[in-house]
Amino acid sequence: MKIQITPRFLAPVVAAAVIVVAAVVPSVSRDADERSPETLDVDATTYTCPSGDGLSVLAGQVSPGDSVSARALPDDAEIADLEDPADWRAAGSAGEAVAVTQTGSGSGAAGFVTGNADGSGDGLVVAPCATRADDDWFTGLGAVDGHDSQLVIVNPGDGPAVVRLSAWGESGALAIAGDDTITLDAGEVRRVAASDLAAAETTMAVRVQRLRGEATAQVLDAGSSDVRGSELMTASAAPAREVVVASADGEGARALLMTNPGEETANVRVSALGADNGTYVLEGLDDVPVEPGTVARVDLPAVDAPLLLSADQPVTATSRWQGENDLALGTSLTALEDRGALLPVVADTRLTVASTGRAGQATVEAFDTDMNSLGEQTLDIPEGGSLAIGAGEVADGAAYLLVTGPGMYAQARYAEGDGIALAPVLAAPTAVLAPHVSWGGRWH
Amino acid sequence: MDEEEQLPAWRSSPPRVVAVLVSRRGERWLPQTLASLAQLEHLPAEWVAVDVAPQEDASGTLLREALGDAHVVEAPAGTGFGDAVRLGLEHASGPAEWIWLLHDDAIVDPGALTALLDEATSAEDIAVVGPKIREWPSLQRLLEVGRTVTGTGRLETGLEPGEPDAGQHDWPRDVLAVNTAGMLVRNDAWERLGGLDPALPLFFDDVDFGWRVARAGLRTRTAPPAVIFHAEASARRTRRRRVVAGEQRRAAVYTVLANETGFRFWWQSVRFVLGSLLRMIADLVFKDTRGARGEAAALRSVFAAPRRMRGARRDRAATATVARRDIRHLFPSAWLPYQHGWDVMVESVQAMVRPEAVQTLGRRASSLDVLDEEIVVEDADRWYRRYPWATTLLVLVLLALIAARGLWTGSVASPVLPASPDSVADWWRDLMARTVDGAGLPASSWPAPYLPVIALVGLPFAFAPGLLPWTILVLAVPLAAMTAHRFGRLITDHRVARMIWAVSYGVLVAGTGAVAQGRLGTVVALVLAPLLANVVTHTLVTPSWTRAAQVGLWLAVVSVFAPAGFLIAIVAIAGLLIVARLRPPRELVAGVVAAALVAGPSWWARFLHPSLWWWEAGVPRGVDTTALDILGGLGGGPGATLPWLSFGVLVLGVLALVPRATRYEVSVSWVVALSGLVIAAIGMLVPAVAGPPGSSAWSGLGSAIWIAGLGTAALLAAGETARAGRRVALGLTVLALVFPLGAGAWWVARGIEGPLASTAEPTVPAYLADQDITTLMVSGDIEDGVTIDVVHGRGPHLGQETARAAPERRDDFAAVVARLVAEPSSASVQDLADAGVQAIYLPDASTDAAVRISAAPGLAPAGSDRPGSRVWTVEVEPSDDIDTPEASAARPVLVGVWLLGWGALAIGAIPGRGRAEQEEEL
Repeated sequence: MKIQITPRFLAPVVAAAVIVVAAVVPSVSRDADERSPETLDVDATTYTCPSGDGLSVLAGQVSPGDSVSARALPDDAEIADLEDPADWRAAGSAGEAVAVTQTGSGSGAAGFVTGNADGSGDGLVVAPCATRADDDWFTGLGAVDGHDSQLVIVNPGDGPAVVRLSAWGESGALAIAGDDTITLDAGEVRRVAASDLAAAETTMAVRVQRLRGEATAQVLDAGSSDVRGSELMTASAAPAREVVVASADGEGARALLMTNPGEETANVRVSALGADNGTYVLEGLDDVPVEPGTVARVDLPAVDAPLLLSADQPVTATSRWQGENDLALGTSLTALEDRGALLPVVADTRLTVASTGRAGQATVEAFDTDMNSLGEQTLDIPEGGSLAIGAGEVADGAAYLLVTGPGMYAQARYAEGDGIALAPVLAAPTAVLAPHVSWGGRWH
Repeated sequence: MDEEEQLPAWRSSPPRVVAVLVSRRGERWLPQTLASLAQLEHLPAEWVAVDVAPQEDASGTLLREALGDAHVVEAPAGTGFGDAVRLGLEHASGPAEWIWLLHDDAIVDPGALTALLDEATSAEDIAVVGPKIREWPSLQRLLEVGRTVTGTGRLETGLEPGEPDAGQHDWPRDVLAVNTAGMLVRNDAWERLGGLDPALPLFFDDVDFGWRVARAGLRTRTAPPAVIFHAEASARRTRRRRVVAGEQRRAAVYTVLANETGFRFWWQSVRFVLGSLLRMIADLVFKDTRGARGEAAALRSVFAAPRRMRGARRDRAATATVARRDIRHLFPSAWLPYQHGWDVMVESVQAMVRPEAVQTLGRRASSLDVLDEEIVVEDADRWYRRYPWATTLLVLVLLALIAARGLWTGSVASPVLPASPDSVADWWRDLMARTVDGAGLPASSWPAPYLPVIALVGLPFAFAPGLLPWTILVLAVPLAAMTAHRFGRLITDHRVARMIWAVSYGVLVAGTGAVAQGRLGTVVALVLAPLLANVVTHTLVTPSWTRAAQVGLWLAVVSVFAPAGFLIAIVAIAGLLIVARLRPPRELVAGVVAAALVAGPSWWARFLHPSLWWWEAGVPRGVDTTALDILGGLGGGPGATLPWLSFGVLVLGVLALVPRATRYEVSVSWVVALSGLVIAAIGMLVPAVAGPPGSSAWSGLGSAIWIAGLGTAALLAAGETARAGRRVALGLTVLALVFPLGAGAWWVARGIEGPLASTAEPTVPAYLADQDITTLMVSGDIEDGVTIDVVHGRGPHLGQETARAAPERRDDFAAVVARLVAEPSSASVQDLADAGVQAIYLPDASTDAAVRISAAPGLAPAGSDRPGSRVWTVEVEPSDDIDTPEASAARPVLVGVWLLGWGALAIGAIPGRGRAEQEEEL
């Protein structure tokens, strides 16, 4: 049978073709990348550095900035020594805190507190100054005789700032004595003793949430009993299921303080990102339970590398190394970014770079105070391991180091006499993640 | 009783009547006129004929042959009727008691003079008597039985046009005036009043005279038994004469102003000036430039000669003995002119929308469309059986109101349809303003393409413009069915099939989901589509420039409300020309080009950004549409009916291709259907401008045209397929009923509410909306991106939603928000303030964006009435040097030109009106 195709049947055929095409072709392409975050150069950076006897402020940047404003709070007195955005500079502490605001696109300004905390544990202190607190966690405060932890909250902004405090102890969440929100006027520095938050807590954790305005937070930890010496504790990031924590080597007692703010028990496996063996689980610490809403303390064996905590519930942690006369606190580390991280060279400076994943390379470049490069070293970081290098191995006479190693973690250990300090090496604030902003949710 | 005693007294002693016949180029009618005079039962005592302009024809010869040389007087050309009569009387051999005025184009009934004298002598105060005048040569149509004048200066006879004489006016009565044709006037009254005013040589001389008679305490009567037949040679232009523009209007104005007294004189003066201006505009609208010139000339002639007017008024005051209020019963109702105006307007609108050629002549000559249908059963049947389509429409209206339950507030809004403004003045301001910020950031963008239409059509809803979209959406089904039915009359004679088709089309509008979603553009386009198809068809068959303007107008309206409709029309017309193997008439091309031109710059932008073709009136919010939806004639989204309901139409459309006899017409319908389908399918692939993410542009218009085209194909083949047998016809009918019944039931049962609502859901917390401040809305988070909107007050009203800041300004603002979220600083907040933002609203405060924004200096947290949301007010004052975008100073001028373009197209689309000058002949 022969079928004759006549033009009159063309119209339905065309219609069917159109329908099929419309049905087959994906209706609307969705390009997820179009809405992925963008990276913006940071135009201005503000950080605050708690003042204290024996302490000074180091200020620097990845690249020269445009301008600097340094003020001693709360009096707002200018600190001229810190107001050159093209130098690595230092000034003695002033007022209750020093606030520095540096402008310059991608300048990557950073400040550090260094010195010996005279009268506050008398230990060596080297720590990054604090940037704006969105959700800061501090684990390891003490509110007992001989352990004096002090929360330093600073408002470097022009308007009032409000923060909310939460606290946990070894036995559970703590009720904050008084109001759990603190309002700070512009330029105000508020020091809150741990004992004012909760009494007789040997080990506690504090969370600082910024509700409004600008605020920074740090903890000056000092002691003269079981806890001896002093350290300026940098805020840890919010609890997570995988956390990298700085750890100090050398002779002394070590402990790991872990906070589980959740409502279920967290089972934590504690590993070391070893220099020789790669990642290995510390003996007896393959499954450490942390009860919900509590702070747990476990002793650590001697390790010479950052720790990797893997948990089934979000946790945050601090490692504490207690020497003869000083202590060092290792807080959580964050991964380095493209444009590197700064650390000052103070006394005996030893940099450790670790990787939780694949092997990689990190670059360490040394600079003098005029920001001239003195030398550079490339570090081959083994898979799941770490590598340490002294500042002197990079270059002599360096004022600071610039560490570059995207995805790597870095910590710095400082030693001077029997003083020791441990500082996280944090990415310089050269860039910030900005959301993709699109129109069209409502009108067009 | 003795018969002799019933005869009027004058029969025994007849008064001396002098008949004055005035002729001017009347040789065409004089033989019959003179013959009729010779047959009078009662002859005048003396005949006098006045031959005006004797050299122009042979009237003089005819008159002399009939009356004798002594009874014929010659008058120079240009002599007015009154002067001619005066001249004739001067040549009469003796004094007259009564004067009988006659025209050369009026034949008289043999008993005319007898009847006139019967009435004239019935009372002492009767000074003027006029006959019943019928049309010559029909001899049946009544022309007048007395006349008067309205307050607007319009001659009024009180008769319907073409009213036949059935004796319905056969009783003598007092009137203001009678026509000079056959007028019997008492000589003493004539002399006392000075006869006809020489200033009124042709028109209104009789009205003026009658008015003066009445003011003199005398009466003008009609004598219906006296009959004359009038050819109206001048009015019908069968008498050659030089017509002076506005002569009738001038005479009317002069007559009224010369006779009115006191306050009424001043009132009428103002009224004539304003009225003439309006009439001039109306004349221009109806393309009657001669009429407009006449209006101007009339005003100039009357008001530029105040001395003459003063003299005329003085003369009338000298003879007046009766107050104006005592003769007011001789004038028509004050409402009569407006009733005539309404009639003209209705007929004009009807002429635009009906397929048939309509001349807008006459009054009360037609009725509404719903009644303008063939009467299908005997008059004795009930109304609903005699007018089945009107009944169907009425039912559809009732169902529409039921379907609109919950929306009877007279306003509608939806996420797609912004609420209407409080006053139509807002629409005009949006048109003319150089900066529009109702949609967010200050913008100087060109107004929405459809704004001129709603601003103009919304004028009757001045203080409740929401009634306009409400009416369109609520009555969408009956309106679409009505226009479809009008078009259906053009393409088929099958009444039942046409009604089913029209109802299906109406229901289709709601079935797409367009009504429930507030897709005003689609609804307007679908309601007007049959009209557009109508004029396109006519333009192809009988092209004319008026048709071209109609194509341009309807296509422009469709296009500005639903730009995709323009694409569909273009594809359909092109396909139609190819299938029909026609060369496009230049009128059709001109109409399409005119539509594109008048749509305006913001519409033209679609040629640069093709995805905007699917952006209809309202917010371009997308829907999740499937190919099945498109196939079923739906747009997708809430309110759309079930796609399988229209499968019957699909089957019928395919079957319509089978009959050979209607294959050509069916192919044309398929071309239209495919045009809709193609545009809908493409629209399905276009991302929606306003999200939600992943949704596609609304394609309901194209899919509806697809189904409508198939339905039309089925309608065109209905006659042929019905011949396949009774069972087959029954089966096809059942198939055809599936959609209207199923979708109709869906429409009524579901209703059109949701998401369409009476009021717009405030986008931002109520207290922010009520403060009429500009709020930045931020949704989403840093990882997945944030979406921003800027809302001014409660959000844009209808027409403002298209106002968009310049792309670079939008990009800059987006960068400011990105910076604010990433690195909150005083600079970011200052930038926000400079952009006009006064508050920030985050519907979801749990996002990291909220945490970051809270650090920004210069923001003060404020309460929110919505759980889980956060609000900040911007505490920073805008900088002094804000660069607020502003359109050029020429914007109002350009918009004016734009509006003129629309006006010109609208005027061009109105069928031309020959000015029916009801000129009376000499």
